[in-house]
Amino acid sequence: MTTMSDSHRSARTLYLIWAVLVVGATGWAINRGGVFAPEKVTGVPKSVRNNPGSYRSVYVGGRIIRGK
Amino acid sequence: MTSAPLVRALTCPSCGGAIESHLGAWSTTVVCARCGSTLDARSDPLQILIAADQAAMRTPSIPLGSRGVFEGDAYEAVGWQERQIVVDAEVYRWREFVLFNPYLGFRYLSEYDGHWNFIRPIEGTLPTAETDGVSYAGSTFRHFQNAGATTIRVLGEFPWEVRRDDVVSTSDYVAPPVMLSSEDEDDGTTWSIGAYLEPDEIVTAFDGVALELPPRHGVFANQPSPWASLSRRLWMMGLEAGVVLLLLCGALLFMRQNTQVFRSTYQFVHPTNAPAGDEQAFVTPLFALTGRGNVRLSLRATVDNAWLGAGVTLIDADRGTAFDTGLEVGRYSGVDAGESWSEGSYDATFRIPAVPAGNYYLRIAPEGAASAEYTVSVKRDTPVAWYLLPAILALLVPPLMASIASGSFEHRRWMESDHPPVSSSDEDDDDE
Repeated sequence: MTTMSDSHRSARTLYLIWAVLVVGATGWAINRGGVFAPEKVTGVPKSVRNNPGSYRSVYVGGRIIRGK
Repeated sequence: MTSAPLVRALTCPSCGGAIESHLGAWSTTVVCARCGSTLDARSDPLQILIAADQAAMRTPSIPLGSRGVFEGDAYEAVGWQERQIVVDAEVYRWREFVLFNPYLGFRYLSEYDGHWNFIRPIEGTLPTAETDGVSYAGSTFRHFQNAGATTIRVLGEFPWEVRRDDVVSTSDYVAPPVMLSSEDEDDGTTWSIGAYLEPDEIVTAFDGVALELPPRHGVFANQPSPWASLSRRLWMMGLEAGVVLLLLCGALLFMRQNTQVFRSTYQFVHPTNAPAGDEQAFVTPLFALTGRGNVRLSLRATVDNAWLGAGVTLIDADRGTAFDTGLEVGRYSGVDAGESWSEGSYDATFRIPAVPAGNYYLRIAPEGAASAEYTVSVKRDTPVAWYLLPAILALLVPPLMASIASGSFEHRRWMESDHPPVSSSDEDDDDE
């Protein structure tokens, strides 16, 4: 038999879990300085420093659109 | 009431059926369970007060003669009556059991739509009138309803002269889970106090008795709200969680480096003014990122009715990894029909989270509608405080939902009263 106090206890436990998740996720996001990052490009050749035009950014041409 | 009465065996003068009297000298009226005749229990032999009415007979949900335990004391269900009130042509019926303990006297058990109350008469200090209710034993009870209650069915024994079609004026006052009721009779007003019981408590009280309890519907006048205490508790927990959130995140925000690691100003030359084959993309000197956290890229250009953008790539010189992004500013203004207007901004920023420490440089590829001077800057580990806002909202959602549910419960409770909640639309209707 589920009593009112049982369901209250379950609701409080669920809220406690929810609050821990919210506080934890917020702390995690603040600590890393954000959540969503642009895709990391790998294998960028060292020659880019000497020849910047050899690198092709995803933001080439036309008006620039933020994000990828 | 110092001694237990003996069970008295009687015979119904109407049908000859056997009647057991459990109230002895306290019995005033007894109704034959076989034929429904109402008899004067004080007469010997029994006199018929009201002739048999089979049509009015019903089977109580708790068999008369059953014993139940309430507040630690055993009571026997000896009488049953059904009463009704009529409000706005709507008939509301409830049932009342007379409970008897030879040492404690009479108590009552009422049932309406599956809602139960254990009721005892108030003796001694009576409730006193307040502005919108009464006060009793340190509590304030809000007025709920006035009605004229008519007895429509009776069965068993009663310590008063009960008759079908008896009408008394009743008033109910509530402070859930308790309800005070008054009944105006010829010899004055009697008060009683009822405590709400869950159906499970009735089953427990009459342990072992075959009950036919009706299902519970709606919200009763003094039914304790299942949401009120939960709502209060969730708000308290939410407050505590909010304090923890602010302390933790405040400390984390305070710990950010928030240092500028690069800043330089450049001149963008529009291609129409640039020498042929001039490469616009360039790279910056190396700069070091220490510690952990984000990188905030900023572009500032004082453009006038033009835009300037730059493809900005943050390149890790040691690992050969990069993050591509773009920044664009545009500022436009003018006068239209005598009204000056402006839109856009001279600044643009982009934040890349969780950039590992290392040596970095930027590849910048500017573009624009006109030649302009612009500044690019890089900040390390900047605080991002706005996450607190959705976090606080997320913490508020469960307590808000509980409060809404609690409000809805109270709304349903008071809709059944003489004081139904008035909505704004109702008020609008009244105005028309």
